[in-house]
Amino acid sequence: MKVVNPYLNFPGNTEEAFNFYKSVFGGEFSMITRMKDAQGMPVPEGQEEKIMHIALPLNSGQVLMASDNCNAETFKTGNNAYLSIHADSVEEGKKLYDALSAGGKAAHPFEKQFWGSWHGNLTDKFGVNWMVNYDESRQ
Amino acid sequence: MVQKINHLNLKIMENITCNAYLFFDGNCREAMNFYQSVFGGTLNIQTYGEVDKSCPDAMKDNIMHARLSGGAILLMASDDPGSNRQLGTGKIQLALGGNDEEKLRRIFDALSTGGKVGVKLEKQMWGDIYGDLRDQYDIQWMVNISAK
Repeated sequence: MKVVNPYLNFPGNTEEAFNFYKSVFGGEFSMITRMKDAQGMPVPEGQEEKIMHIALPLNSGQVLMASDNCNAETFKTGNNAYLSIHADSVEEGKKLYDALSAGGKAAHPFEKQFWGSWHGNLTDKFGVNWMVNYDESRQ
Repeated sequence: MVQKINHLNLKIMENITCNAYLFFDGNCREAMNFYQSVFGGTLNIQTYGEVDKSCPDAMKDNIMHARLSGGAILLMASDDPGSNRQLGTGKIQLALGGNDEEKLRRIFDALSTGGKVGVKLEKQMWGDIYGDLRDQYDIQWMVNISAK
């Protein structure tokens, strides 16, 4: 079975929240990137140091991940979580993306991203948020 | 001392699972059938009526626990009709599970620091010890300690 990883959003305090989770679960962050590290992506002023991606591997095999979402219009407390899955191939990723978004809302199409891997996200017809990823370097 | 705490922390998630748990406003069965069509696997469903004979008629057919396993991914879910989830919030919670009571109690207490406990961590009618909480960052967690 594929691992489903929880992907959380916070309204600007991701780093503080993840230091808290680290104090609870232990381990070390496997990745921290900030908004200013994103090449070619416009960053609103004052958000340069906000978290674009942070990952805390749990010994359970899952990775707890998150990013800041400082957009008050799209951030909803209580619904700030995605289920993140990794496909084994681009084809499988496309298939999963299409199947999950049927009748739902395809927010960001599944395509190659500037950070090198494939990614898409969507809200399915039941209101659940999903991320579909494919990363060649994981194969 | 700090080093000692870190050392303990590194071991704290051993043998503990962390899974996403979905909530629906009465259409859990329909949703899980959909996910089964996407991911495959076997769907096991328990309704509130099956688990609790004294449950009100209106709730009887709602899903208390659904588990899709053996396919591409593991997914768990239940119905929580009438809650504020119909506003589109709280669809996803994180579920921690295992049978190491001491460790899971410690995690429950640590996560609730500055947050709000919903259901106190104690023995439930299904035989396990269970509790849930909303942490100080508004993330909702459930902790289930399996009966040995």
